Amino acid sequence: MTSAARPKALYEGVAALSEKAADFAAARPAPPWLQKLRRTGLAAFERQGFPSTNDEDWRFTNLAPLTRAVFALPPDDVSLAERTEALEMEARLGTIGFSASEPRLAFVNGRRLRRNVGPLPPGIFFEWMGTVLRDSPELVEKALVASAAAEDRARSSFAALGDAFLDEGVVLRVAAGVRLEEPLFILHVSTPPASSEAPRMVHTRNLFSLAEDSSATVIEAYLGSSGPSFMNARTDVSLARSARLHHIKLQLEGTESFHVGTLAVAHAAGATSASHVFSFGGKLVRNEVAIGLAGEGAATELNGLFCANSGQHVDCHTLIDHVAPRATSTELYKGVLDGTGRGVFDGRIAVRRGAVRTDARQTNRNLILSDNALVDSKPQLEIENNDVRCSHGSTTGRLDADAVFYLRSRGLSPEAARALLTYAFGSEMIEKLASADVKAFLEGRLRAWLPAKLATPENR
Amino acid sequence: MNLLEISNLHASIEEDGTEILKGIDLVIRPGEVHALMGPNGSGKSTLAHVLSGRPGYVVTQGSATFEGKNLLAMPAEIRAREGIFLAFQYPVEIPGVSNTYFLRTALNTVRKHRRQPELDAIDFLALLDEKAKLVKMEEALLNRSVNEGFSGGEKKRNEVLQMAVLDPKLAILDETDSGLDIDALRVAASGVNALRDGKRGMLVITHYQRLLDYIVPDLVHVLSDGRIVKSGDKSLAKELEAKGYSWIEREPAPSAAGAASR
Repeated sequence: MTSAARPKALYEGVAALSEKAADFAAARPAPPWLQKLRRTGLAAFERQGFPSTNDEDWRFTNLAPLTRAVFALPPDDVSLAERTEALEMEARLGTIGFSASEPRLAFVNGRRLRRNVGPLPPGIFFEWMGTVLRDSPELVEKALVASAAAEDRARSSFAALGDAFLDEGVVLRVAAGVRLEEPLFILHVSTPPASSEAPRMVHTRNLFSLAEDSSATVIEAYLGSSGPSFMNARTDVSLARSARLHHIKLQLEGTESFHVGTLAVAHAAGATSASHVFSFGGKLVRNEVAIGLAGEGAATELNGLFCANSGQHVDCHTLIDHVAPRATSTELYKGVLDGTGRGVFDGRIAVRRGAVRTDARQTNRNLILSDNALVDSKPQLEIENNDVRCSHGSTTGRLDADAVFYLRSRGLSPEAARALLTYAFGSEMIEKLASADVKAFLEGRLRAWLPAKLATPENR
Repeated sequence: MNLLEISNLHASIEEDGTEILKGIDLVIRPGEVHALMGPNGSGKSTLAHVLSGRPGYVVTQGSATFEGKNLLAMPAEIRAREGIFLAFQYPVEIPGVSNTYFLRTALNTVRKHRRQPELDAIDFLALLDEKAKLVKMEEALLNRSVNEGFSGGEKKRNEVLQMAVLDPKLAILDETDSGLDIDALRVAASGVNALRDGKRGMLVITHYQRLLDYIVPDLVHVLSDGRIVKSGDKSLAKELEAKGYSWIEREPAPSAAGAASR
């Protein structure tokens, strides 16, 4: 029985999770459509289970450690200890911590921590999902139901699980023609539970909709301490004609954390998006970006930097679906792997029959710093018409020995030379950002990640 | 004390054991500028690499001391900090590292080793500005990534700039003239000449006499098949220019170690 010997799905832990989801739904009154959405999500999750490594999309990422762990929803009320710890962790974010002035919605273990949203310009709606579901669910009903029914849902157990626990997150709506310069900030902080409690899980859902000719920048940051935790996050974005979104994801959780996060962006004609993913590891991290280019002339730019050290696994999975003519996509993902760290880049570009004059370029470059680090790179290009310009490339290698010697010949120690070259490799992705505060924060974060101390490049 | 003293130095390529240097003897005193000439494959660049501590070579015999210290026992970065500078024949491009940041990091590493105070950003930029003028380096190049997208001439000027900033006791210039037109050569050479201060030693490696019209050496050595086969004053370079290297290659090697009679 080959099929039994090679299961496509893992069912361990599913029953426990589904019991929690049923309790969760029973305790929360909701309009009938939301009840149905949760039920449908739960049923889909129970049916699908967790994907196994026999599922092509999960070939290099074994979810068994996640399915075996037991996670509990945190209690409804945020404790004083949680709040204190979360605020302290936020303060340590430096240039993007407390002092930052941009509108911010912050969560601790999935519940509301603080809201720092001053008077927003007219046409900007930036609100807790929980508030919207209670007071004006009609604003999100259509989009949430559509997201649940979307094509990729059949493959995504985590999206189904997110539906089953749908309750909180952020809703952003930008009115036609409104262009917001300053970024909007969504912060998630995971704190460890008291020693008697099970590790926590969070299912969060963001819904952004940008009307015609509007633009916005959103930063999502996921912060965590060293204990185990499970973050299941999904952001669905709808860009109307000529709308523009800049999206920055900072994955900064602890070494024992599980993180599965998806950004899905649907583009109308002429809409553009830029996604920047910075992922600094965890026990098991999966960053998914799914781009739908169904509008003519839409454009997307995907950038990513992922770093993994010993005991960490970071998987970056991107899909760019070219449906309409004359859309463009450029993608650059870089991985840095040290110790026994493992990385995955799986980037798929699909160019449909009607997507003539598509321009798609994809690059993955990985830097291996130790003998035991490993990265699996799987670029995929599926082209169904001839009138396209597509390229993809993937390189994985070590630091250039000539460059190391060049730096040593100027007096730098081998460790300092390696740190400087590694920093240079990663910082290219930081340089692409517009915000000086986010850049400064990430430069510090990357330096802190390096195996050797690197002098602060204050005059770079 | 002699700055550099090399005696009977033999070195091979680590990978395949091919012997390249077959008994080099050379003494450089403070303030002296020596030119090392020789045909392709004679071992000029290998000597530069071995002296700078580049991995990939094995010294099988002989010694090299720098200010009386055993040079061959020092890792490359210690040689640099002690005051040896190699201007590369092919400077390496380092994307993502700004020239200015790189130079300041290198200078402060060297200064720390020499027990001099590190320079802060402001003092460093003042120094850099002064040295950049010496080699006519545009400010834009200082802020770009090290050598990335530089022309051949800009790369060589950048080497001379690094040399000026790091202030070495002994500079080894490995074919600094290669790939340069006459204007670029003049600029690089005038930068080098400005660094001749009566104390700094220099070993100028070149295939052609042309460079020595601009950097006039005190002594000229001719390397052939891993040995110095002839030494003389600057007129030797002129003679080589006129007669070519084949004249030298036919001369019997003078050193006892390699004096296989023909």
